[in-house]
Amino acid sequence: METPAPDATRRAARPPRTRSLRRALRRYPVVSIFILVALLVVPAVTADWLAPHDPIQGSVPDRRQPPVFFGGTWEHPLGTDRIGRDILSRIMHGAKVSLSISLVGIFFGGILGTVLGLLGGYFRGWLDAVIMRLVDISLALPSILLALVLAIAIGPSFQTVIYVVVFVLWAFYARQVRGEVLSIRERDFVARARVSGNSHLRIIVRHILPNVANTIVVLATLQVGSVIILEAALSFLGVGIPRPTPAWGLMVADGRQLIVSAWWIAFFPGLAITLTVFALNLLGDWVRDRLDPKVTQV
Amino acid sequence: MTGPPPEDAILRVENLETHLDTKMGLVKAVDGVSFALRRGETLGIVGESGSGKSMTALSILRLAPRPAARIVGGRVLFNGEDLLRLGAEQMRRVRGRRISMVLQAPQTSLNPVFTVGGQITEAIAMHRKVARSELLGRAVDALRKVRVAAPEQRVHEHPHQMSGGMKQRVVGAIASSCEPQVLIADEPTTALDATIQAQYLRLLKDIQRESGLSIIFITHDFGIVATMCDQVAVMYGGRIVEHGSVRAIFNTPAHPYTRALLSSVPAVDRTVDRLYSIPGHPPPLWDLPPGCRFAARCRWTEPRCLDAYPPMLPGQGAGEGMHAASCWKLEDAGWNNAEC
Repeated sequence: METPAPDATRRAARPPRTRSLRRALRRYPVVSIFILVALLVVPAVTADWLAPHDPIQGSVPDRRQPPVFFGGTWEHPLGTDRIGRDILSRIMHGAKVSLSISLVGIFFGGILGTVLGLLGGYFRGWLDAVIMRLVDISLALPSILLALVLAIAIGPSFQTVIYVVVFVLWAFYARQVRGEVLSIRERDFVARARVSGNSHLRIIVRHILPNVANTIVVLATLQVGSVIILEAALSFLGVGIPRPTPAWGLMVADGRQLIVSAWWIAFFPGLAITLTVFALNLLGDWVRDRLDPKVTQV
Repeated sequence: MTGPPPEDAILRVENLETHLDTKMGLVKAVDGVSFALRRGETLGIVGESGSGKSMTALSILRLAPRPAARIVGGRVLFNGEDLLRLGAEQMRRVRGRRISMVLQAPQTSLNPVFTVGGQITEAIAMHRKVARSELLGRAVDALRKVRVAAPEQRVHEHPHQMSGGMKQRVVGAIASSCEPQVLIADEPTTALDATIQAQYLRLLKDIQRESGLSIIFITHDFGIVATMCDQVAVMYGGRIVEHGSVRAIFNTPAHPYTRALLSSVPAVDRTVDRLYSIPGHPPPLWDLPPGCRFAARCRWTEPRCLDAYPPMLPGQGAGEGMHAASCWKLEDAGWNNAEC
């Protein structure tokens, strides 16, 4: 990698100052990290102790209570849904679902895709052809359709969502990693490694993988947002996380019919999705600017 | 050919043939190459691009790019053992440990994400049983051996922190870290400026003197050949067309191609208007003529040159060591005195 000398070139390549908000947010990840920590990580980790109410057991007499500044009380700061469950508590527990699904899904999808991409890019030939056709197939299949089929076949569950996420994600890693390996394998240090007696496996793991690590990290960061959207969409359609487990998409779906009379039921989980994904995308952009040599060179 | 007797040859290549499948058809990239290398000796392989020099080197290590390239014939005897018959795992242990190679662009031969020390220790750990605690010291020693200043600090640096000449010496350190018996250097100095080049060549010579290393030096620079090599093989169209001691090649070059190559070397002590260049292009390797492959560009072409490929004939210079060339002209008396 012809990494340009660290700081000098990077600074020179950028315009001196931009006033755009997006630029500022992108350059200083503090804002996005703050939103993420406040909205996703802290609630997800602490939901079991800090959530004020049980997310599943509601009390019917308290149903459809408005949020605190819209005629409600501090007992239910974000109001309650149609069977009296506290929306704040459900959003906190929902964060747990979103976070764990994206982490687990990206982990397995990333490993699967990276391994296949390394093998295809390095060995090429028929193996590469087979892997890349699988990638094409995977990218051509609509993920929602696949989720519907899987949900009908094995029933909607946490695992089903993970399978769908892995199935959708691996192809992106495989394609990206393969592309980079194709060029890295031609580099002289790979030839040198071969000449000094490294096995293929060792070359792939020790010499090529570290050179694609940046790409993998960038891809993973950028994908957390889309996985959360995917999970929400699946749950919204009823093929994702099964009721009564609180998931953001599910909560939006539940509040849909009452959007006129009790807007907060759908609004707050929707807001949580929007802010989280927005913050994740900003963070992803920032990580890419930092790590991806292709972007820094432009 | 008048090679050295087998018993004192450390590496003996016999009739090596490597074929390449290309879009144009089958290319005989290495077409029956033979030579022998003794301990501590340096063989220079000279020729223009596409003459099969690098492919010969890669074939010795069995690293010719597959699936396009196949070694279809010949033997590569290393200490009497045919490398072409070894299993993949045994062959892997020969590379880097017994036969090392320095590639055409040493500056980019280092992995950008690891420290220099990490890359040296990797090579050592792969081939030798050395305790982890000693590895760093070994890397420092290896750097000191190639005369990198302040090796204790340099081991912790990344390749981009070093200059071209420095990186190249690091590559040399990696190649020599396991004390190989043969080093194949494929144009290691092409990308360096003249001063650094001279330093590097001196370093190679010194390492060779200390360890009895045998070197195969691939180059198209006759100046390097003159300073570095004991014997020279000139390749053209996948074959060795002339082979002999350095003195024989320089004093009494027999093959017209060698003569042409030598006349296109600029001389410091002569003023010329125009540097000599060989007319025409090398023949397409997928469509070779039956006769001499140089015939189309040769000043002395005769009917016999077009009809049959000339055998290796002994050179006509006297008392200058081993010398042979494949040119029909060598059958004529007094060819050596012919003006070139």
